[in-house]
Amino acid sequence: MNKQKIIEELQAGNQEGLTFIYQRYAGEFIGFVSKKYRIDRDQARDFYIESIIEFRRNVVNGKLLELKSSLKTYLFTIGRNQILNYLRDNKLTYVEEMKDNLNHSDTSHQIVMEKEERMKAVQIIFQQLPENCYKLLKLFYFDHMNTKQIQIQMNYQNEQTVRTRKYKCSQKLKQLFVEQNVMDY
Amino acid sequence: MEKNDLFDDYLLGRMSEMDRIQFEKKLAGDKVFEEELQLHRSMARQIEEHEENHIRTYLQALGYNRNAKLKIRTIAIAALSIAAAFVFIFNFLSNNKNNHEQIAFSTEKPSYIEAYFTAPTNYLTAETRGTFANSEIETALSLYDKKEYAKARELFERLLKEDAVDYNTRFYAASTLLLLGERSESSRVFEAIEYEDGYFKSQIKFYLALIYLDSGKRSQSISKLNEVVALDSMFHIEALKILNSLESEQ
Repeated sequence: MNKQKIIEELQAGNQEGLTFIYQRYAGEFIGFVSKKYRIDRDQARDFYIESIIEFRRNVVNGKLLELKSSLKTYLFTIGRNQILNYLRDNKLTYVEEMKDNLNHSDTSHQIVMEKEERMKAVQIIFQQLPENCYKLLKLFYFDHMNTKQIQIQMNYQNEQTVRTRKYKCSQKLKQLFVEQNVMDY
Repeated sequence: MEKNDLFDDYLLGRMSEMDRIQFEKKLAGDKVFEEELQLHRSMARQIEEHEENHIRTYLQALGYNRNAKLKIRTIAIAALSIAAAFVFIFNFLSNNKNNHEQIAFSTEKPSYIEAYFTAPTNYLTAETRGTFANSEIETALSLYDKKEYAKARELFERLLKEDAVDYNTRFYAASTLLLLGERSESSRVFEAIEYEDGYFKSQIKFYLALIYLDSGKRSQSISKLNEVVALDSMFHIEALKILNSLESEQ
């Protein structure tokens, strides 16, 4: 699969593109960064996954229409930046902890727990929506498809139907968010 | 232009410079408008976050360095298979009477239904049911909405016998049965509509997988979970999680 084809797969919301990228450089990336930055292999793999996610995000947001460099260089650069940010933030947390004598690990544990609880609540809300409702919203907000593309993908009669359903589904979802108080932003 | 479209254009950076300035002016002077935008932004972000987690789970499940591990894995699988065969033959020959004990053992396992099943919200109206709309269905669904499942069940049961209910109503009837702990009845109704064209395709498969797991039908459940994964719906993550945990149990 060449790099333009990978971009097209990601734009179309196909999982094959992600699978291909992951398997193509996972071993090399994990081996390289775990040695260079002295992090364990599981952490290195998480960074690799985050790099792929960021790459996908840039593609669907329209920030990346074609790759000037090789895919490997692009992924390794994103990964490197993420690791450096992580190492820098961790160092800062450590210094703060020493300065204020605060129990940061408790605080960060609490934050993680809260986030997990919220994510679970959100998952339940999504499951309460009729399936096509969530799928339509996902195609719009996650895959960034336009109404024409959604109409074709979901086999709707016309674009107006997509717009009407999108309106109803998003209103319903927002109502559930308010009722169950899971807004976070 | 509808307000939600306006929010989308603003959040996705699709507004012209002039429209954006005007939009932000309104935002600055209208508290309600600002709150509506926040809620809209929150909704979009939660969908994004949810789907990105979906990708994380999927990629983590792929593993890495598969080729390097392949030989060790093949040897390990072969050794485990031989050991399992010995255990099976030994159990079969020496302990042929323990069917009841095995059932008792399976009930001690954690319930997948309890862990993963939540009552689906009912969005049906008489209008969406069209020709199937009738007052008994309305009553049954309204009891379901009020979480009066036992009462809803009585009505659903009668309606199901008369075959007077549509796909959507049968889905809520099966969900009611599952909420009341009637697994086999619930799976019978879900199985009857599983291949019909409707809103709840992957949801039904997912619920069936949970019922099968709790009933000790592991291989049937795995096959349903794989179907859920292939459908790429919002149950994808949960299905993958269960598949991973089943794999690690082995």
